[in-house]
Amino acid sequence: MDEVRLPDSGIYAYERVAVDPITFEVIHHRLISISEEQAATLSAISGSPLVNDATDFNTGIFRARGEIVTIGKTVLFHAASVAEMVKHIIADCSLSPGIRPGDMFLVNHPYKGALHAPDFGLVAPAFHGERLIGWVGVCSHQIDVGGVFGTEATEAYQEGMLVPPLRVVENGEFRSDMMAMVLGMSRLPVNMSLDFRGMMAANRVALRRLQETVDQYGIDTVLSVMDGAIDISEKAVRERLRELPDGVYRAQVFLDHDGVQNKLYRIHVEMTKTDDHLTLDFTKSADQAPRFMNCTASGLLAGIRAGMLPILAYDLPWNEGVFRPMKVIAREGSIVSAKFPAPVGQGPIGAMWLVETTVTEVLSKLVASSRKYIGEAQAAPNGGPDTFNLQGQNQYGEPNRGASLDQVYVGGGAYSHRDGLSPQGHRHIPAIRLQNIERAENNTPLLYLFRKFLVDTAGPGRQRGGASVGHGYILHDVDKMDVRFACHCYESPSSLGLYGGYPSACNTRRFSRHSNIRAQIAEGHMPRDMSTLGGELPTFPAKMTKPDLFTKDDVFENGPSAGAGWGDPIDRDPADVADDVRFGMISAAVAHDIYGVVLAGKSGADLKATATRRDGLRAARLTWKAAKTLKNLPGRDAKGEELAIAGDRASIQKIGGQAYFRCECGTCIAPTNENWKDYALQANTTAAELGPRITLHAELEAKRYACPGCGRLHAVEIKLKNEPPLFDCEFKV
Amino acid sequence: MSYYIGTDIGGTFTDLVMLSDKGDVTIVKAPTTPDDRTRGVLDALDLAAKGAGLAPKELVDHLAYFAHGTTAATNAFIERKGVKTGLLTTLGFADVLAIQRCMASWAGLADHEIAHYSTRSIPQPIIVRELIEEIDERVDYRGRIIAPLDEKTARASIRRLVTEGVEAIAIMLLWSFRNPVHEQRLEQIVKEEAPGVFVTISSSLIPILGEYERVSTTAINSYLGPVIHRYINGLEQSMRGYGYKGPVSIMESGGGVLPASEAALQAANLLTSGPAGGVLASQKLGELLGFKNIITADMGGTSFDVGLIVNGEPELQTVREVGRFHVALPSIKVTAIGAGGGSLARIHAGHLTVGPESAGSVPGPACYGRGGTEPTITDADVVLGIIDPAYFLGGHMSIDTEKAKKAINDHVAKPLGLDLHEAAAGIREVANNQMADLLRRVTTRAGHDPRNFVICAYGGAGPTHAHQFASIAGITTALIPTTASGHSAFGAVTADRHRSFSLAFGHHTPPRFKRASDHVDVPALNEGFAKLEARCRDALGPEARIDRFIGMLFRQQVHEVFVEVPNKVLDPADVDALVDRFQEKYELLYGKGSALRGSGVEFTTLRTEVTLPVVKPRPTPLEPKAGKPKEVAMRQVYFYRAGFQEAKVYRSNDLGAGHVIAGPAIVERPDTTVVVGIGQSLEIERYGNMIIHLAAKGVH
Repeated sequence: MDEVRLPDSGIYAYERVAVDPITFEVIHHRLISISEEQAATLSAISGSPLVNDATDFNTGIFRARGEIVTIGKTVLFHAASVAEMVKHIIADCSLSPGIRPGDMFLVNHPYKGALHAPDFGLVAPAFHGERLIGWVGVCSHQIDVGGVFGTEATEAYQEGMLVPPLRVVENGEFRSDMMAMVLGMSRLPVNMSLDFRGMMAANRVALRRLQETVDQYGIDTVLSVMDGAIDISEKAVRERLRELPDGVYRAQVFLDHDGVQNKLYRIHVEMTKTDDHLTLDFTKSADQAPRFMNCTASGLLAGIRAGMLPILAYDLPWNEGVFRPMKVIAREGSIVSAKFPAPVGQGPIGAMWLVETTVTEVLSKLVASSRKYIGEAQAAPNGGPDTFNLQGQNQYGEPNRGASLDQVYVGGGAYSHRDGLSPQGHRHIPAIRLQNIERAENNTPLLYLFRKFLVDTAGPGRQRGGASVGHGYILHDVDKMDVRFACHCYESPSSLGLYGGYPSACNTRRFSRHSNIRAQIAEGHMPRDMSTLGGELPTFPAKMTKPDLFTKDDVFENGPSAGAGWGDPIDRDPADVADDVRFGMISAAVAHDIYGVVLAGKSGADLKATATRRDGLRAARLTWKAAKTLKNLPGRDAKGEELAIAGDRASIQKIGGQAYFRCECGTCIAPTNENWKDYALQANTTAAELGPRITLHAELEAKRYACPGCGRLHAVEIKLKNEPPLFDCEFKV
Repeated sequence: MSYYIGTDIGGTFTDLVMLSDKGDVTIVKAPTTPDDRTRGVLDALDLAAKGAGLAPKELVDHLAYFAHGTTAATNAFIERKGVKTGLLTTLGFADVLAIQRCMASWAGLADHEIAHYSTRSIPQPIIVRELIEEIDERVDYRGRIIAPLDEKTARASIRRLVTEGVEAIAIMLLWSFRNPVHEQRLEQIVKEEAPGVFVTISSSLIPILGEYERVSTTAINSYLGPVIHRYINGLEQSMRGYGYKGPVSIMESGGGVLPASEAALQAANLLTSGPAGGVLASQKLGELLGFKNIITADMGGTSFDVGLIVNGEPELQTVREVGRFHVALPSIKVTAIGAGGGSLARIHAGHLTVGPESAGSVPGPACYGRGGTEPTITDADVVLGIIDPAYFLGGHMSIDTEKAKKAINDHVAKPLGLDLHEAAAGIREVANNQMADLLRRVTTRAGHDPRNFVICAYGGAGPTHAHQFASIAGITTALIPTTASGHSAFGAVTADRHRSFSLAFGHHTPPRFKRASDHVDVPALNEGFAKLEARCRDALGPEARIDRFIGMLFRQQVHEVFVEVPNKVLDPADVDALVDRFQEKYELLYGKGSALRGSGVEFTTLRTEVTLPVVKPRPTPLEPKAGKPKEVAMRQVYFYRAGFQEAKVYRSNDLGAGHVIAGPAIVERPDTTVVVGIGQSLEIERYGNMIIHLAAKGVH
């Protein structure tokens, strides 16, 4: 939200003072270390694996109107949440009794800053005397906030308690009546109260340390450093933007299944970069969905910031300044800016996830227009995780608790200079630690059959995506459990490659019902994979509304989406492809069909045969047709002036007063004011041609676009069948 | 006369500390010889002999004890120069080692490296995928055999690895710590098939829950075992060649020394033993001087390493990261940031940053004149008059002040619009504040307040900066040990024999339990400790001191806390008391009210620490030195905010027990420079160590 209605009279008015650069750095470092201390305090008291291992929390210091001074490098989505909560607290709580020293406010309302109901924020105002100088805040993910199971909710009211900004701390102490009310709405009040205590202690530490800093250096100096640091980051991002070409950059993906019907929902961003600022327009995104995959306006901001931080601010202090050169436009009532009370429970792994994905794509294409910054551009991260919810009694006769995080073991998107990481984990979680199998088997009634890199999850490319890790499970020491799955990227690949790189796998599930697993084990052998298990193979919708039964004769394999590829796969070094086959990252079939590599026995590639096969693939592409053709295009050897690059195998070149999209081979494909894809050779591509783990929804089609001169792939696109290709980069150079 | 020698091989220098029966302490340094590190040790030995006026042979004849700390294991691991190693692991789980619990993309990276996604990478593997063999077998969480070991295919797998030429094999099967029979049988088969191959099995090295940490530790141990064996053997042979007949001890990272013969079997335990040695040395010094709560601060050329001693005991950790993988052997905890004499000062996006990038030893600080042009902390120390260019390392190394000035002027002063000395003092101020923030973080994280600690500052740059970073952190007493520049070597010679043994236990109570003893198998607990004690006795004999601990956590929570267990057969009441003690310690560490008793308690791991003192001389107090301390010069030294001050300059050789010096002052030692800030004072205590009283506000 933009409007903040705190009366100026309540805010400490100060004069910016000049702070010498040494004192500036010392205070700035102190502020960052206060945020770290906040995080350490929360982690200590909370003790929860979500906080300590999954880092699903954040801490920060904010100026009077919610401007970020410092935030932690935990889940990047939270770079929006606490700051947005502050704005809502100001809007909702400034009147009687007002915002007072010693207060702290609790919020989980997704339309008031939280990403979804499980994310609770506790935020405390910081005062100098009677005047507000800023805020400190913490948020963390709670395991149970009441409510019904995700897909069942049709309104946010059913997705758990809705705590508006609520003054739960007065005069530095919890109000026991307020706490009783909030905790009374959770099925796990003890865990929740522990996290709340941790959050309160974290805020106390931050307020005390902030006060010490003010006492030591003086209020005006400290505030000048806060605002100065914001200005420095803003200036750095603006300078960076100014170095990049102006243009309109577009990306879209389709979220499949709305929890009721197998419909597609478009997430679309049109980013206009002019001089030193960005406008991100999501107007063309779909209307909101009937079930939980929407996100609120704060969720949209969260997805955008998560997309942006690693690409534009990888080496800068993360604060408000990073986000200032950016304007956001969205339609209220759309899937990326839902209207209350639309349900948003799965927003972070639904619409918000795909906002991050599309913003990552447009920003990557922006920085990939510059030789200086192309290294920061990356192909898309995996599609959102397939939640795997087991309900019933565990092997100790206790209710089974907690969601599995095994789906987080995913590969990362490829870069121009390296493959995606195998594994990387979710892109917006910089440093995650997941459970050992022995810990999982100790706590849940499962026996794992494997934890291994799955073949053909990684998006093919000259640099391929990172591969994901899959898991196989059977029940152990219990006879049955209820199971539910829900995801997107199931029949709609959302992890799209760059510059001819392929999408990564869709989320896949293999469920072998009434298998022979027990008989195999009784004979004394564990199965090597799913191929020998027999049984039925039921199919499930992307999102299940009702639980299904998981029995002791069933085997389930979870196969996550992975990182997308970069560049034409037939440009990949054949030796690397052979290694990938040897290490089980890609199959021999994909090596042959997509990479054009002919393997020589177990150890390597047959280089000669590979070259022949790749020439054949290029020749075949050259028989594809273009939608339109132009006469009078400059020749392949025409001398041009490079205005920008478009990835690392094409550029924007000025020839005779006209700018063209030009392949590395010299072929001018189209003038930049037209969509180059219309003039490229194109082929409808089946799901099978994209890879064995790809499924395409009936309304989708895949197209590949190649250079008419040399047959190099420049794009692989997933789009609606009846629509023209997306004009992804409209350079204004 | 008998001598006792501790040595420690660092990246640049091999340090040697020699103690004599009379209580003398001698420190010498010889250049490290990376091609054959033993040579550097012998060079140092020759230097020590020379210093004592003896021929090397004579020294060795009087040598009663020789202890050695080495970075050989750490270097070999970080550079991946271990031996070709194979792994046998449960069918379906060959990738566990590479996946690293999803930490593969960030383990061992600093925060700023983690945030820079495009530069991240997956670590170079310890064992390549082709040398990992999956074994058909399965044991479950209760230790029950689900699928028996398929010996026939296992033997074929082992033969294949042997044919591939592996020198070592690691064995890690799921749940082997609950039921080790499959691992033990595999070990037997390896011995039958390839008796010369070095084998480590996880259930013996580290029988705790967590297959990733187990496989990583076991793999590292096998990978390094033969390397360490050759290295230690070579060293021992050389010492024997000199005629030395006494014991050779090797520093480990858990809090003591191992006999040389056991070092290879414990190769993973040698990783990061250097920093551990410094902490142990501080602990011994603390015992002597009566300090029980100490923050150790080792500031060298590239890093600033902080450890904690609470109530006389070093803070331990159960898992540590080394070379981007994890070792789950209990070790002395040391936290590092990139701040040392060689840390580079840079302007980045309008901010002055100091470290973590370092000029290293090549090219080193600009003032070394070896081609470095960017300014470092050492350059700032030179420009400010703190380091005397004519007396750096006792005058053995020439310093080019002009190069230091130019570097600071060009890269910091001009861009920020400061004059040279403001800029140099600013570099120090920024670095010292970063270090103070780390001191604070390390102590508060462990549930303590830094103001209740003394700091023990060592390493080449520690004594030069302690006056400031300690006082910023609110500490009032800084201890500068005589052995500041060879503190790890001092740790090696003074450390006791030590081993640590762990055993997973894994019993738990249900939620909302009344008495833990109703749910925990008390006889099994006693049996577990009896097993561990037997291992302790086997290792160090009947005289050794054994301390027992149990690790516990609240179910569904992550903080594992070890509490002391009485040395007796436990009865149910003792077990209930353990839970109370756990809760008490938990709340001390993590805050009042943080204990989640209602979710139930898990008894995770039993552990014994066994120690046996080694023979070493008792330090003798020095005679108080008469007269006033002799000043060698007055020098203009620039202090942040205070500008140039007249500082008295002393040489450590002129100072003796009982001398007190008022700041601002500089004490020059051949190995380091000690700064006493404005309003501070320094005293030489009765064993010759320096104590800086920072109580006055110091310089902010």
